Amino acid sequence: MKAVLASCLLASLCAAPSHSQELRKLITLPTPSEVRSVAVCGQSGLAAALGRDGSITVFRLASAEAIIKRPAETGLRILACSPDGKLLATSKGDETVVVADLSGAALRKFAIAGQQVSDLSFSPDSSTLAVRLYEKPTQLWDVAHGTLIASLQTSFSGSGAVDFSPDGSRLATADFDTVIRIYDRSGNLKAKYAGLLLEPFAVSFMPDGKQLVVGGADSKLSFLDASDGHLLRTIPLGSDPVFAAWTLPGGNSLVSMQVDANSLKNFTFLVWNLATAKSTKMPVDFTRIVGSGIPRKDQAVIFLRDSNSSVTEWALPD
Amino acid sequence: MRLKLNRRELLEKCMSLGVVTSTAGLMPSALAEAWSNTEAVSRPPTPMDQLGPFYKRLSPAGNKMRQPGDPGMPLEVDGVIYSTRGEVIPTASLEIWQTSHVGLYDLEGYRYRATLSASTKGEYNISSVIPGHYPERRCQHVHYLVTAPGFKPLTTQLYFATDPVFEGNPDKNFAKGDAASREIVRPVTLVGDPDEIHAHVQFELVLEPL
Repeated sequence: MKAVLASCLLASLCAAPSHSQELRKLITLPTPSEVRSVAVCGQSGLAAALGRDGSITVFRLASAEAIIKRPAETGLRILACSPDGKLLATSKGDETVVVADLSGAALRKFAIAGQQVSDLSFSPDSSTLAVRLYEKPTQLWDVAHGTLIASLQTSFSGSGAVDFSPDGSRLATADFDTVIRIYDRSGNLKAKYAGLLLEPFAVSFMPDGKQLVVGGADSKLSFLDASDGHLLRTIPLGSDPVFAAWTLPGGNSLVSMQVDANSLKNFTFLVWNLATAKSTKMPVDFTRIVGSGIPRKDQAVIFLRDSNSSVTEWALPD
Repeated sequence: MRLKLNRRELLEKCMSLGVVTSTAGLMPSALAEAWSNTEAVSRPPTPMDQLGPFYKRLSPAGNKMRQPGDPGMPLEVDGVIYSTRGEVIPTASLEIWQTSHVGLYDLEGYRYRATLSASTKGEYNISSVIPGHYPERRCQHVHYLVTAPGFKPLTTQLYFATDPVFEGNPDKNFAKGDAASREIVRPVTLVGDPDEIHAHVQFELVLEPL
């Protein structure tokens, strides 16, 4: 039923993965328990690891020094770190978000009435928190004042991904009603793209903020003009849905993660050269990926879980 | 012994005694129906379940998701769409999609995907096949997106009490599946001639007003 597009074989932009390439190992972080996720704190030099037991450890990435160790908190499963390296936002996936300083002293508590939190993202200036909700539109919260800025829009359901523009002036949402929406930081809808038929799962601003890349169940990368949302071009990727995509710092490449639609078990991790539309397959065990980010200028990384007691930072080629 | 009358009998008796007068010339049966509607029983909203991951818009109109010769156990689903006030919603639209009998979604086309409208009595029905087990999901399921003017969109899923994951007892073994709520795990009956047996499920849907 799910056939590879025949046209893909002829399209100049459709490229088969080329040779495998090793990731470059950077540093291993010792953790008190098995890591659920790692949140990069912008380019502050810090990253926070959330354990499956609900503990949080904040590391200096340069030295792997654990500067903060928060005790286990049962049920904690979502973590975001502010780009300025001063705040942690956490949720148990219920109707509450807690914003605390690194030591764990709660500063703000957001009550998301009747709606379950599925993910958290800080704006680049750390002032706004995007709260993605289970089957409901994303909300924007003012971190300093603890107030709701806006509930965003969908025709139904929620968002598969959100991303702030590099300058923080806009937010893009990949919504399950198949629409890509672009907002200003006050939550005013500025543009949208409604040309998708299937659900999008990924959206990412290019480093210059002028374009968006979108991936989803249609097994394509779609590039949109970030000012008005119109479609610029697509790269067909065969038959595997794209469930994650993000652009790398230089603006010349991006990462896509795809999964075989039939088995949902065979994952592919690709780094794309956008000038040539050629991809390089990375030998990554998807089940070990616990985080990603850009912790240093011009360097994107992923974090792979090694064991129950460590996680390692690996540099991606750009 | 206390006399018990149903609505129609009570209305007929009242009209014959002049206690109730139908100024519009309505028959007692019509008045009884109107009375029933005003006394509609409130209903809890249908529990929400996740939309994705393979919703596809612009599904073709129609209720025949199963085509002649399709493998798998034929399935008929019907139901009525209500408001939480218990009134039928005659203006609802439904989008329904599922996997094939072997658990595969059609991402290229629109097999086992349909858009339909409820009847003026709020009724809908579809013909399909029992969906297969989808990778990474424990339960067989059918997706619903139901919309109607003045009501919150409902995303939910229909599950089957006969799903092997429940081991014959969905009350006891509900946690072994991955349905969002026990209420959307529906009983399945086998109906039809011996040569044309199909599964039948009744699945009522209840929407919340905006």
